[in-house]
Amino acid sequence: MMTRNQSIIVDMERCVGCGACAVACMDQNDLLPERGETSCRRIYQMEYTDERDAVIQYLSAGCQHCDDSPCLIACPTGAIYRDERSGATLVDRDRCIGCHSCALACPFGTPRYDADDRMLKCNLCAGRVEAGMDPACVKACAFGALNFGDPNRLQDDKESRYANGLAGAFARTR
Amino acid sequence: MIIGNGMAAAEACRGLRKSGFTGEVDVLAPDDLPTYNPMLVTYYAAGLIDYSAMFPGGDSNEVFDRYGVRLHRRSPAVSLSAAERIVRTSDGGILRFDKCLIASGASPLIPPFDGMDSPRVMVMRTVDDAVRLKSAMEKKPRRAVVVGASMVGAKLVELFFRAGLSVALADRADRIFPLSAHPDCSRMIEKRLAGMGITLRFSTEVSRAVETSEGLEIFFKDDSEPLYADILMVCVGARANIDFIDRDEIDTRQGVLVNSRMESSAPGIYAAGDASQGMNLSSGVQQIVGILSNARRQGYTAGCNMAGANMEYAGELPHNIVHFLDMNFVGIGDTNRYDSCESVEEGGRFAQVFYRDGEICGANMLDFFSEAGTFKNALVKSRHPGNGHCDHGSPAWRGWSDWQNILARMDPRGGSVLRLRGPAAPARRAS
Repeated sequence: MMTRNQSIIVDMERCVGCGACAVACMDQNDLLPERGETSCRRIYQMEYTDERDAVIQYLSAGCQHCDDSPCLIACPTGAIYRDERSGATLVDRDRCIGCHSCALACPFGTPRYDADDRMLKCNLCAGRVEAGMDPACVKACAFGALNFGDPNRLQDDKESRYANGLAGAFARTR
Repeated sequence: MIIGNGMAAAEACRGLRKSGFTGEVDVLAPDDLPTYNPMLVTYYAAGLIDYSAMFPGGDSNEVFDRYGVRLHRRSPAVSLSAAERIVRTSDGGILRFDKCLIASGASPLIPPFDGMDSPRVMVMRTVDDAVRLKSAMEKKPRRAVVVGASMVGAKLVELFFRAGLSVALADRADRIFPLSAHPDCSRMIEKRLAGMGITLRFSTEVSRAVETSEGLEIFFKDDSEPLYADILMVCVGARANIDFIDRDEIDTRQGVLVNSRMESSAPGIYAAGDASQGMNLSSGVQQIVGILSNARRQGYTAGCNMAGANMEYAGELPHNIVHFLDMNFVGIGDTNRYDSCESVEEGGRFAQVFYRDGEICGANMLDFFSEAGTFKNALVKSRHPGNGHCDHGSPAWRGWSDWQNILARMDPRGGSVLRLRGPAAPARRAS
């Protein structure tokens, strides 16, 4: 059952940029590249640089379903809306006019468009979640970089893992 | 008191109520139409959306009903006295207020020329304008001239082209999208338009339009060949609807000057939307930035502050995206005042980034829209960390705080590479 506090969270320290999440998204949503449709997730390679060194990090970015969604505010027709039950930012494709205003509003490069120029976006795999499964991208992530649940709980779990790891390391040094 | 019933006004009502204001709110609407977005009217005129779709909030002013405000239809303000705290309306009404928001929007400009009163000469801003053009299109016109190479102008060129008309686009500037496109990008778009058979005429203005048996004969100031048209659209910009303001009481230039709280120079008087002149994050000065999201955020900020909250809105970076004739143009920030620039052209896609004082100040993108939002938001954040755009409050978002340091730019090799400046987040090292 979907609840309002569930999100897809990416752990950037685990993402290796393999793209499995993007493929799973396309499979789940029947998105076809030959129709110009691409995944609702997007893989970025980021290079952090300074004078001495460079570090590469990967990021699987998708819709964050922001509380104060910039795309929703920029949408002239009201096609983008908040689903009150799940808290997800969804699109009523019948009301979309393909103006692409959401593309310029979204900080994560998330909005996609079909052959008719109507917006395509992540709906948190509502059908799968209602059936008790994780979203397709989360299910496909072999590295545990994508997780689905309450963001605060997931963060707590992550911090607990670190704390346990530190405690173990400390114990081994004694 | 809220003067106007557009998107900024609607957001102000939301802000007022959300901030706990329970008192009376009067909203003055210039007509009896529900709230609409001027951007949608070309879509209606083109037959792409129904009449009702121009009113996203519903056809019975649900927006205002929801917030329990008193809507005065067909009651445009004719004068505002900040000292006496009264607004006079066109029907002779006098309304008193404690605080007032000026959200009266803007009207299209028409540069004067002989023949401008012809019924064939039209503008495109309001619902009535769209209805008039739609009606004119039903008479099967053959030729159209669009004056004003703006976003609206581009959508009108598309409308006429798709309807099979012979189309010409003219502007006093030397190119299309002069305010948001670099000449390099303008030329690429113009090349595509010319390839479609669209006539382009720049660096000149209409001097007169004469009714003939062949339609309107349109003459230009540079004595170039006249153009013939059944419809002449004029979309050369808009001016703020602030004639009812006493400029000795409230500081104005093109619009009402406001600070980050949307306060004007007169205590208790606020302004938002196309009637206001807030901060342009690109230029660093107060300018009208006529963008829907800007109007909504300004209106909400004003409403909250009118209710006694203390909310600030840093401003907006000018940005436009226009999807027309199978191309997608994006203009972000300042593309005409820069020290250096670099560009990428690949497979018909084009991106150009501009630098000033060592910082990115703007960008143009053609058919590169998927990068546009990331770029624009990174640029906003790099300028003003912590402003309203970043403050989403979502737990997921907070985990991304290092994005505040992003200065993204297009990768000349293609692909999606974001180069970040600043301390690296914990990550594995490149092998």
